Amino acid sequence: MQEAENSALAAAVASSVRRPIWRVLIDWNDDGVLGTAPLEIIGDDYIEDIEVSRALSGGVGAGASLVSGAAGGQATVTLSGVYQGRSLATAMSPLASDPIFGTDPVLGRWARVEMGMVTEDGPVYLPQITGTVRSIDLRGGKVVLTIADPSDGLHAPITLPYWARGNYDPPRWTKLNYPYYCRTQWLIDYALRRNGYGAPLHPGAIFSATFHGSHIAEIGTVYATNIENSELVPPLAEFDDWWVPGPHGFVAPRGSWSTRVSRVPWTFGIADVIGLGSYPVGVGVSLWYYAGTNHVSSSNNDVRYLTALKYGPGVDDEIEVTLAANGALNFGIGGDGYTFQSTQNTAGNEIGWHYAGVFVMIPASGRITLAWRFDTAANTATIPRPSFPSQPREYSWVHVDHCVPISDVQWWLSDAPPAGPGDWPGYGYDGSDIGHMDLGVNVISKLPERIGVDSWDFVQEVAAAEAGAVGFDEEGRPFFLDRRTLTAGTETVEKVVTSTRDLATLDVTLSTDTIRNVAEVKTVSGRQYGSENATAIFSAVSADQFDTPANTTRDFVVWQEPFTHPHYYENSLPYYDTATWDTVDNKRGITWGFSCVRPDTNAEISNVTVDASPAGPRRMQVRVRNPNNFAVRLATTDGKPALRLYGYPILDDAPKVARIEKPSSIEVYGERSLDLGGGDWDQDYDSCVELADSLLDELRRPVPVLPAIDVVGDPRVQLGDTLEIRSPGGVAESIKASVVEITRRASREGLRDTYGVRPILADDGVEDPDPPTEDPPGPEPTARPYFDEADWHWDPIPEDPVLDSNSSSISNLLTSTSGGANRILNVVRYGNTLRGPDGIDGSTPRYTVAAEYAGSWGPAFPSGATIPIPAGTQNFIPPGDSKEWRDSHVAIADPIDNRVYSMWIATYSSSGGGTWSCGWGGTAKMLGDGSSPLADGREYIGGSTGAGISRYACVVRIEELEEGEIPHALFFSTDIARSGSSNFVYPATKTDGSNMAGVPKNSTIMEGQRVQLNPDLDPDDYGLNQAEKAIMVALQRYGAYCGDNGGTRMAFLCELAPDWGGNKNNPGSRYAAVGITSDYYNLSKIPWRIGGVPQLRVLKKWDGSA
Amino acid sequence: MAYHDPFLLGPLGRMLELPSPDAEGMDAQYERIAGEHRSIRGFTTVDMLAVKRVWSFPLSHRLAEDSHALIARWAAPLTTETLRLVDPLVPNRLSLDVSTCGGSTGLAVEQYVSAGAQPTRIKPDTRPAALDGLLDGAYRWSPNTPARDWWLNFGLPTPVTEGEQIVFRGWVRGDSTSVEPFITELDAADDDTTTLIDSPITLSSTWQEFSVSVTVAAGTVCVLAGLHVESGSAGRVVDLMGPQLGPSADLPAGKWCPGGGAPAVVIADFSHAYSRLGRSTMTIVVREQ
Repeated sequence: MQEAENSALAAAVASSVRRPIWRVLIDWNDDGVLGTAPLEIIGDDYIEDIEVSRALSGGVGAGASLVSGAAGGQATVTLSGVYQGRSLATAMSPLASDPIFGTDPVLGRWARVEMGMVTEDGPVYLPQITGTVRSIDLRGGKVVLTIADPSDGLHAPITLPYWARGNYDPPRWTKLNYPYYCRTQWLIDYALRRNGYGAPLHPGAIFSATFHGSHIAEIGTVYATNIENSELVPPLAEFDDWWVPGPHGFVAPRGSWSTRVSRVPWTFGIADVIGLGSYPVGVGVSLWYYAGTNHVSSSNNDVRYLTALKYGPGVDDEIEVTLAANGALNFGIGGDGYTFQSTQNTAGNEIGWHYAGVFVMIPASGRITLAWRFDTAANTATIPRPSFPSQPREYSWVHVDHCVPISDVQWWLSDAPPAGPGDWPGYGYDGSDIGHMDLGVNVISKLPERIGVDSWDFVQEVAAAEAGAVGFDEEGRPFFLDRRTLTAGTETVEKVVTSTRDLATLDVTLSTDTIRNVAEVKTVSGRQYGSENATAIFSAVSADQFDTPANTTRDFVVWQEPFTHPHYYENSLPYYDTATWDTVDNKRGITWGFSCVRPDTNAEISNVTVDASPAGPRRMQVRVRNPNNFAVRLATTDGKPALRLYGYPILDDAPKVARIEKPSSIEVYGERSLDLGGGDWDQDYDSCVELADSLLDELRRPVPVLPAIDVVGDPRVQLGDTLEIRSPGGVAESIKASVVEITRRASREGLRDTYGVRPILADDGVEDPDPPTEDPPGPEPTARPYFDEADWHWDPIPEDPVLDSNSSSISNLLTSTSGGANRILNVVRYGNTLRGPDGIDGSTPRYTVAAEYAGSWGPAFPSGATIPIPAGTQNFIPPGDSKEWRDSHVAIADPIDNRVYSMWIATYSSSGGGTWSCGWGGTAKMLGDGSSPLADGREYIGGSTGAGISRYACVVRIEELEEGEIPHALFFSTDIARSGSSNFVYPATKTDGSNMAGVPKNSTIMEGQRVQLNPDLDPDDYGLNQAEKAIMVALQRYGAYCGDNGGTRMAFLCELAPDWGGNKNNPGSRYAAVGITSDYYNLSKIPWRIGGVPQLRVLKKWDGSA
Repeated sequence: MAYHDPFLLGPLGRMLELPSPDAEGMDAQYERIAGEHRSIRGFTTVDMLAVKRVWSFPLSHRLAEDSHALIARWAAPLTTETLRLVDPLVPNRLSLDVSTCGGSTGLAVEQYVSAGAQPTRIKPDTRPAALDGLLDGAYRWSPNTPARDWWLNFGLPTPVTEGEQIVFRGWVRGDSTSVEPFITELDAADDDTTTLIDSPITLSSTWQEFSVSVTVAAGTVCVLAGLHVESGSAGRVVDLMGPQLGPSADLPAGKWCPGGGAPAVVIADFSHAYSRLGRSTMTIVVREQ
């Protein structure tokens, strides 16, 4: 509501006899002033009628009765009359003789329509729309002007910078407590700035960051480190929130007084600045900062950094802006510590935002010229030249530390200082609020890719992603209202309209169309994390790849997998002689170093230096320094290539899924889904859940639909205003509603309004359960520490998978108890001993393991492979050992060879210093490196299971049961595995199925087939212990693969616990603690059947496809 | 002029005396331009936009040839000049809005201030007895540049005829400064010919009526009236109410008549009826702009 406090205007509007007024102001001569010659004010002399239409459209979708979306507006003004003896149409026509505007059609000029009332205190005009002249239509002796609001001109192409919080984080798997993720305000401001709103960039800007809701730089690359809650000290007592009110109506980061106190590179932001060039160098910096109560009252001169630019190679070679606790603002040139301005900033002793700017001209020789500005005060000086480096560093960078709230930071290069106040970046422009800009509720951790998109489309998209409202107000100023504002604004009634006085029409429709009571939220943070597990990133592929001539330094660029920490390459690579290299040769992927020979003599050379450093996201630069008078080769004496690098892979954060529902509504109306539609802007779980919950709160009930209502015109009413509509004795006693559409007409019929409204329902007292506040059930961020290319192993089963045509009959048998059939856990006697990758390193004893049946069935392991088996590894061997009747599995994940070795009938003998042997086994790749074979959990040599699936895959680990969650599919053997060597499906590579139970073929299951327990069952309903519940949830989410023949209907494979004490009936205390107290533990509590109906289903393919 | 005086029509300097209407007389109607809203329950809200007068002159007497041609020319229209109508029934020839200091429309009224300071419309706490109950609008003028004279003109140039005795009246008050009412005579070329300035009036917090009169000289086609303030200290305040400009005989001291006696008009209709050979009856409909 405009001028809500103007009682004279309110009285004039409410009077039964009113004097409405209107006029149109146009900046005809494009000088920035509305109402200029030749038609200064278009008033009653010319105006026949005006129609202004403004509407909020879009938002969360059709049927949703929410105030959200994008506001667009347009005015149509019909003019007639005589201008200087000619009709106005003739006078304005560019095709007529001597038109008043020449041949310039004056399209695109700023224009404003105002309407108002004559009041007791005189005329009061209120803006109705401010925009530009979109068209001039000359017809029938009349002039029809169309004025569109500024969104009509918001079309500059938008390309978002690359920014992702987290790419540089050290390995971690929990959500970062980082307070400064990108907010919607920054995104909208970013688009507006590209269309001329806000402070312009200095033409020589080398760094610019507004901090209007994000640390992302407009120019430069800000990446933040050490901005965790625990590390930030609020700089000012008056600010509680992370984002605080900043200048010009934007937010600013609260900052931290714990920011750096010395020139150690402890920074919030770094921007690469390539090449300051040679002297003379002119560098300027400008910013707004907040001086608070601390800085007025304190006598402490403890200094903190606001921002700095590194210009030389030394630690102290910085141009700095610092703030002392007592409010003294200093500009300094580091160098030898010279400070050229330490006078306390008197303006800084006033609480509030202040402008600071400094320009430094460093000549090739002689004194330095300075110019600086504190708010309105400006000065210049020359100072002696400190001991500068001979040249500025080729690669410079900017730090932004913000020890207090900071905004609009720019660094720029220029040949001269700013000439006047208006030339200081961010100072000279109109410092009033740009409009109303909320922070927004969305939390963005990675900017999605947007290249060259339309500005207005972009602004609408980001506002819609959080059901906010965006547009331009009546004065042409942009606004962005988030849900907190939109919801709070509905509580105050701005105007009461009644059937007695105002309403000309009122119809009400009640429908269930608008009801929404359930929302599925899927958030994808887009963040990436460094793995905690090192892996090979490069190995030389040929012996001569790094040949380096005599007395030469050669640089090579090699490609590798992305890594996170280049710090491991700060030192030169270690050298190994051939004998040592051979001993570590099998450690491919984990070690790093090189071996070196002289190619012509094959003599080993140890004085070569090899360095490696990152040269890009996927590139490494390898530098070989050969000080010898002969060429060298990075190879062993037996001709093997000998250079290896390793690092830590970058992994994607996993999506999070939540379901938010309103049971009170579902119970009455059934489930009605709300599509948030945020797409790749839905990144933060907590904010998306909060948003969805608030939307459902508004949509869970039937909402009366009011078609457009005609009322007596009121020039004060704006979009978003809350009305109370009263029709006592009529169709609606009293309704609160938000105005989402206004058509306001001024003509000889007077001033009339038509409103489109969305009702606001009163609190009905219903309290639905709170939305999930913790990470919901679903795939946790998983590092896939092994078999990372085995989607079949790690991916959940999709909804509504396609089932095998025999699913019912197979399920009937799998869940049957007929003939004593049951479903058990193999924990001890057929349990699986697992070791590695943790606990296996270069010191782990390695064994050449002979496979007894390799001669008949083929090799189980690569030729010459040695298997690391930790001392004390135990597996189940029955008393009176009979190899034919035991499995005695041992599976080893070897991070050095990047292999998983699985051994069947594994047997240790202490003779001969200790040996291991096995019946047979198999080998799979542990982690993928982009080359074949894949690390997909399927054995590429041998076969340790009937299906060829690695023994290491799908095993229930004791740690998983202890944590109560199994993040992968399970493995079971069965007595109804289909026979026939070709009867297997992916991921099986083969089958040993023999249908031991002798059931009909159509009721047998093929090895490789995946089964799923009914996902709609609630695990809490069956009195399960911790282990049973974890297994049931895993069977619902990931299912289980048929992988082997066995004597039980379903026997699920578990790990032999490391604390197993040797008792075949006692799986150990760790299993007992989660409820598994015996081997062959019967899973009878799991609801395999309910009311005789099988609850298992058999998928046609592992991924649920057809 | 008086009630028996004729209507004058035409541009300044060439106003034509309209013949006496027929025995049936002439019509002068007040046309209300307004929009009406009716609520569901019938409540009516009126948006008043304007009230304009329409005069209808049935003229059966033969006009002089040149008069006929002039009216035909104005009705065509073959001129871009603004037509004025002098209505003898409304002696105050300032516009209604000027005479009420903007009270009739509530809008700002055209004033011409030589030094650029626009008057502000106010509602005075007290009014002269002659105006009490009639209007409550006044202008407050605060000359703010002490080193120069200030001239405040009211309204458009007002048509007059040679030999007329014209008076400019009003009520003023202020804070110890003095003002001089004036009338300026303008010729057909819009040049000042004579400015008659009355003796300075020392203002106080009490309303005082002022007047300045002039007998229209030959060659004068219109007059402007206003107030003059000599240079003096800054921050002086002059309040003005109820300005009147018209024939002295019809605007006696101590009384007030609302304005509207010389509006700008357009000829909305111009028709002939030929009753017999050589004899026609003409009707002119004039609409206030």
